[in-house]
Amino acid sequence: MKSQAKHTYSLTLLLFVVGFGLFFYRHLALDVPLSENKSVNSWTVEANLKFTAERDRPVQARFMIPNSPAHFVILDEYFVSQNYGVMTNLRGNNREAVWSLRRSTGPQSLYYRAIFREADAQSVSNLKSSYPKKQQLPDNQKAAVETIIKHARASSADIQTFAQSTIQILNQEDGNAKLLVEGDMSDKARVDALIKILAEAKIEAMPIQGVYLKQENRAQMKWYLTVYNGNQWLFINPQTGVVGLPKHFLIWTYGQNTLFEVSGGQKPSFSLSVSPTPMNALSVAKMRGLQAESKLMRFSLLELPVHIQETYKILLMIPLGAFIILLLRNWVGLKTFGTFMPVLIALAFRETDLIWGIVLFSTIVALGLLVRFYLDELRLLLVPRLNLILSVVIMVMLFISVISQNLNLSSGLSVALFPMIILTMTIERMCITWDERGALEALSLGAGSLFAAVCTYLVMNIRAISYLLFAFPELLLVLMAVTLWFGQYKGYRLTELFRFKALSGA
Amino acid sequence: MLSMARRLKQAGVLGINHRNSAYALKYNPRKQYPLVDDKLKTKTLLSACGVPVPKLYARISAEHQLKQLSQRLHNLDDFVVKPAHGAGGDGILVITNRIYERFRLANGTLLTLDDLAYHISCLLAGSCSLGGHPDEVLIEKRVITDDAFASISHEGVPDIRIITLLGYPAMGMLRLPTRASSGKANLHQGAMGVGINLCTGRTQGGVIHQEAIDYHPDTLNATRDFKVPFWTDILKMAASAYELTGLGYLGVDIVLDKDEGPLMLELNARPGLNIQIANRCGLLKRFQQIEAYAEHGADKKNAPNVLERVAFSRTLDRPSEEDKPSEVVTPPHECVELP
Repeated sequence: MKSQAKHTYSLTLLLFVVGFGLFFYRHLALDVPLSENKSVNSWTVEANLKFTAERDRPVQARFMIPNSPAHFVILDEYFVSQNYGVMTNLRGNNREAVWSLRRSTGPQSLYYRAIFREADAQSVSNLKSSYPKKQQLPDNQKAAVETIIKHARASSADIQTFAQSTIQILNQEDGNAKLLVEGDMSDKARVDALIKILAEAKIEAMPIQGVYLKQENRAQMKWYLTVYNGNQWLFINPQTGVVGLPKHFLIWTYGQNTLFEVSGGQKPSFSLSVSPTPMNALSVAKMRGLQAESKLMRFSLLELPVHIQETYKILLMIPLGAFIILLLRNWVGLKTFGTFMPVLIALAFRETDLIWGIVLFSTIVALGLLVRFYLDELRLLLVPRLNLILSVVIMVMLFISVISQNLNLSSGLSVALFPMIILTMTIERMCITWDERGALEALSLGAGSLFAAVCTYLVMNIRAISYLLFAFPELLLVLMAVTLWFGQYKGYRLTELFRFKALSGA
Repeated sequence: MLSMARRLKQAGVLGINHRNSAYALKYNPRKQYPLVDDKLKTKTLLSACGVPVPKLYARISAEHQLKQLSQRLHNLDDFVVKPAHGAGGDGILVITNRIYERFRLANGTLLTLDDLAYHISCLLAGSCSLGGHPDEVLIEKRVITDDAFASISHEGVPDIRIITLLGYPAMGMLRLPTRASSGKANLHQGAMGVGINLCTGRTQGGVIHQEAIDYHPDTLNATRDFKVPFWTDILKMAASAYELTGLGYLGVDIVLDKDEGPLMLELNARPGLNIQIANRCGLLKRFQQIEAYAEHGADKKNAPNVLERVAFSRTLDRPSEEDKPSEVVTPPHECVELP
């Protein structure tokens, strides 16, 4: 007996740990949300390349597309074009989409659309350095670069501060700086100048192009700078010298590469648009799971067809309802017709609403009882009698439906979802109880069943719980553990306190 | 609420959850249940082992046998109809005599042969059996109440319920039919339960539903200090059921027939807990004493026989003051007495 108790408790503990373990893993690592309406900030970015195709020449267009950008996760991407073949290639740190077509004429439009989800900061690793070849600078520029390097060295301690003070020197816009940027203080010219200077100082650096994600129809590519300090790549704002990548900055491409190339086309133009698209957190988690090839996500209910999912949403609630029955019977001592009959009635209540459900249930049972009492006079055998009651129950349901249709009461229609076999058995058993134990006992059993059904319904109807069980079916293991634990209860039932009152010595 | 639960616990009252997990599930192997759930099997088993039971007149197991019902009942004036798998006294008809081709029930209702046949056919279809399975019907001898009980019973036959654990009688109660229970001896139907002192076989206070009462509600005769005849035989009979059925936790129902003395009526593998109210004493302490004795006190090699077990059981209860048998040692008694 003792080892049996040990067995039970260790099983309880195991179920508990495994259930909660899976739950927390899926919530924390796979981001399955805890509540149904949680949405995740995500952005749709659309890149559009337009050009006019030349007659009878094969067309090949390529443009850079983001490759696992920092701060973001690509949830989904689409390539939209007419007749073009599309390929994506990895080129260095970048990814490019290559569109090709044997021949075409007229204006062409190629779209790349991707949905980005904000993610927790990820460090950008594995950037291949594209150490810029030392450029042969004109003499005047060379002198300017050397002057700037000298100044910057004097006022810096390491690579990061060197890069920052270089930016400050450029910002002073003195003669040397102007010479280097050739009078053009745009971001691109600055970044080019910075790269030149850093290359001269033997520091690895790369330009970055990207967009700030905010609602914009015509988003501009912005330039940024990344510098390798020997350990990691630092992101530095070329304007201000601030280190760190802004949260909303989507890195589009690294390095000097041009953003797009078109061969066989003329007048190419490239535009970007950005729009926020809040997405349901659960579907985001699903997409991520699919991309990550996570086994735990793959074996998820979300993979099932939608109508099967709906079925499981309901089925997963049944063990919970049964648990309520456990509490009501073993802890409270409530008496009901049949063990799980109230759960099934409660399921029907989900469709009919509570008040209507109670009214319909009572009506059907009352009418069924009347018929059953009448049938008693005919002295039928059990099975034919049950068949007749079943038919009557269905006819009563039909009658209620038709009547409520004519009265425009839509709730009455849902009566069809009542479990008629269960109702039939309830009527039969209630009638027998009525005969043998008296009306009081029968009615109190009926009321007990109805009460249990209402309690079960109220719990099963809590949306948050129903969502949790659906998104985390492993919580059923926890429920099993709790059932095992509560099922050990050997104490008095609530009703027994009154039953044995005389023995309490009070 | 909690203090009530604590007081009940102190009084050693056994709750249903505890009964199921610690006694019914532990001592009663599922395999043996049919022996007691099927009254026909019980009867066959008991009479084969020489335990006195009410005589079986006929068994009806199929609908077509009802055609010969009148032949079968030909020379029977009084008899009892009961389903083999009934529970709680449901479906039992007691026919006391015949009046002009009609059967008279204990409560005076007259039934025609057709009424009777319909009732039996309902029973055959399983209307009163556990789980609604098709059933068989027994027609057996009607037990005539022993004169000893005549003054404190109404209509039906009083019976004696003994709860045994591992073959040790643990508690006994006399169940007296009342008008409210329409002659049935089931407590939840309103029969009166009267506790019996295990040691002496004398009745103690009684209870109807949850109410303590010391006289029979219909005859108004006192039910206290009533000596149950054949008490030792009854205890022995109850104790012997353990070996016959292999069920450790049993409710044994015994009736006293005017002519034949104690007869074993039926056995119950899930006896109710109302007996505690009738005795105004919890079962738990007695069960623990029995378990402890069976574990350590008794001689392991040759398990105690019926007599030894009955002797031990008698020590569980304190004999009332007025007739204390000298040979019985009284253990410290911990039952709660009502004021």
